Amino acid sequence: MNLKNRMIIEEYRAERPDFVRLGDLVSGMLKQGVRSLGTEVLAVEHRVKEEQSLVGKLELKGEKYRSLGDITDILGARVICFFSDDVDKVAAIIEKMFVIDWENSVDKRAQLDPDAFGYLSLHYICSLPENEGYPKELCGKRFEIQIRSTLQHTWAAINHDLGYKSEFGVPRNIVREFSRLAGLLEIADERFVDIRDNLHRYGDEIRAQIAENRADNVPLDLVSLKEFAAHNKALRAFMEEMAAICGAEIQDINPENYLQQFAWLGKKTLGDLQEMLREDGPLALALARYTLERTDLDILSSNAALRYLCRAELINRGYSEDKIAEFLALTANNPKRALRQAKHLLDVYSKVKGGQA
Amino acid sequence: MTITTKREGSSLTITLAGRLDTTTAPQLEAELKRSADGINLLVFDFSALDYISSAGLRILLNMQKQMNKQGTMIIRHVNNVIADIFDITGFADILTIEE
Repeated sequence: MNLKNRMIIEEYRAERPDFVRLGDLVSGMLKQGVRSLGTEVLAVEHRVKEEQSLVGKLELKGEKYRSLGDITDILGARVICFFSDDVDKVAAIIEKMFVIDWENSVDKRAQLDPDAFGYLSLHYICSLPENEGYPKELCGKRFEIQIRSTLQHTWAAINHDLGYKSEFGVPRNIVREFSRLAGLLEIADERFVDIRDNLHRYGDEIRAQIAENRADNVPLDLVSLKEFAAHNKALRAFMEEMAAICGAEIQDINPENYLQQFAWLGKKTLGDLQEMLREDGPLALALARYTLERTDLDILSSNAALRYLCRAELINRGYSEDKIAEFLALTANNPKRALRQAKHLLDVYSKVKGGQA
Repeated sequence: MTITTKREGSSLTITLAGRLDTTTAPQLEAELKRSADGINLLVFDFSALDYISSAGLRILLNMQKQMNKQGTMIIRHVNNVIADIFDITGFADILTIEE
């Protein structure tokens, strides 16, 4: 190794602790930035280049670098988004948080010819802004942030794992295979975005139908049940009345577990749930009152309303103790516990019926 | 209430004995603040826990939300009293309860 490269290695050894600190700081900032978007990402990763890797880089391309400061990926961070259209949203956040070295930053997506398929990723070379309270010794250091989708990352990771860091020297048929796959994954990325947008549109439609009281024929599924639980006025009023029994706060939680229970009860549409609320609501409230008045609990989940409605339905439809236990076993992870709960439910019902509520 | 913690790599097991109520909940909260960062499996062992109040439920709920982002949370060996509290409050739906 020549003297210049040896000096770069010495510089690296001296500055490595600062890069480690910088990595933790940048990682935290990226996670906070992503959180502020209200979007989920697969991962926010970072690494400080190992000395061995730096030695390899200097051996291959050492003539490009005069000092450690010329190497922009001693610290590398990566944000892997679930959806390809989130890449630009994350990029916008990064442009606000960091100083961008535009000359050395690259949008690999824009570099590809329209008829070519390959590596897609957005690479920013960044540094911390001065005069914003960050440690001075960390502000002068450049680092790389890559932003890509999960599928883009998968393609790049396999490509890299097979040893193909660039196309030079790669057998032509292999380049073609990778290009074809890149094209396939680009289309898959677009389809995932479409699926996500279609789900949002479906949820919006259901919400509108619920608000306008024309949701009776909407099939019961995860989206429609969530919208019903969140926005149906009669159900929300029922929840409030139940919570008022013990002055409880209501914690909204995902009702997806109830899809299986409603299926068992033969409920297929939101109209079926509306009918359940009408017919079983009074008994459900009575069961809830009997149970909750005897506790000091002051927090309920939004699903408690569905729980008591289901139990009222079981009683109103005349299900036997065994069948009730079978229903309760859908969620109790213990058949003995399900049977005990079934007996208890019938016992509570007899007391409620007898006016002991 | 006594709290015993056991950390193995990125897994944390917390064993509670006694009652998790308004007076003892802050103790658990402090322990979780101290130990739960960076873990991807949180196991609560309730084999010696007699009772849980709303204060305890709130802690479990918050931890479940946190662990939904960073891994998995499991509650083991729940007695009938506590199982019924989870059930009647509707929280059994979001907690992973194992024998």
